[in-house]
Amino acid sequence: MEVFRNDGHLTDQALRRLAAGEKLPELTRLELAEHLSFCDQCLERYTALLERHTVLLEPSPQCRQSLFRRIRLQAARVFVNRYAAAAAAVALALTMVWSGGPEGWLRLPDPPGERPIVTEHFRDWTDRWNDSLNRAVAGVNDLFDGLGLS
Amino acid sequence: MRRQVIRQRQESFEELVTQYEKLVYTVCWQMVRDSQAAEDLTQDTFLAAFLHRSDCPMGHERQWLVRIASNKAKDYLQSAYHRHTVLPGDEEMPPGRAGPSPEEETLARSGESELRDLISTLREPYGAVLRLHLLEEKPPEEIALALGRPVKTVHTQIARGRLLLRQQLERRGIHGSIPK
Repeated sequence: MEVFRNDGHLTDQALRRLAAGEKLPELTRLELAEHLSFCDQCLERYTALLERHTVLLEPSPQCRQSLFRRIRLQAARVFVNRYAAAAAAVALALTMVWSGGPEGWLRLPDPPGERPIVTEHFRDWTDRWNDSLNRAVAGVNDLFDGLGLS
Repeated sequence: MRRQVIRQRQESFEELVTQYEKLVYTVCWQMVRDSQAAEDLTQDTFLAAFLHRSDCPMGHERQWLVRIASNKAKDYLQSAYHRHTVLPGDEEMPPGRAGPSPEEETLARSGESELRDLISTLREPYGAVLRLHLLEEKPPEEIALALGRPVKTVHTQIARGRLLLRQQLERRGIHGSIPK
């Protein structure tokens, strides 16, 4: 059986036999999969054949359960990575600010003597930090609530 | 509000899974002919779709999923094919040895016309790729551009085409390796 036409696209026969579920040699299936992974035209022809002439097979129910479990894990991993990166960035920034002494490369401007605003500013900053943390925790809770797939 | 958005996204993805699960499984099964492997690939397909769902072209979900499934099946078949296919002569050249091997010299003596004849007998998609690679000495990147195929696919086709050529050489009684 010819798998490819001279113009480089898949033959009708190859696509028909694949869509009909015939057992094709392994190399042929590999060539078909390779081609379908990049060729829009042949993909369109194949999906049309599947739609019209193929009785679709059903996977086991465990397949879907396992899929949603993997999705939950993956989503949690993405979420944790994102927040871990943000936390690392904040920690690095704070380390640089606090370790920047008189000889350090980063110095905060000296506050005017008559206005003791440093402690107020610091309190304000810690309050905001607490708010942010609370929002982040709420976000985690939302995410896991939202991932409770039925 | 945020919770509602997350829930809506989850529900729409669940709908996508419900609607196309059988299609994706069928594609995977037709490619790999193994129920367990097909289920694993079905999961891989939907997991990839979930992670890249913002890339899904609206109204073309079916084609998009079949493409992902074909890609997953291709990777699976490729690794299985490599596991039990040894390309003779593809081994690493021993260190410290420079210049063409005796086999390559033999082939060089046979001349370009013989190589051209052999390549012309190769079936597609290998004929076109090897003609460009061996006779016109084009790099895989250029061939990929000319033929509208991914570079990785061209690399695979060159390797497989060389194997087919070598088999033909052996059938003709010319023992040698194909120039790289």
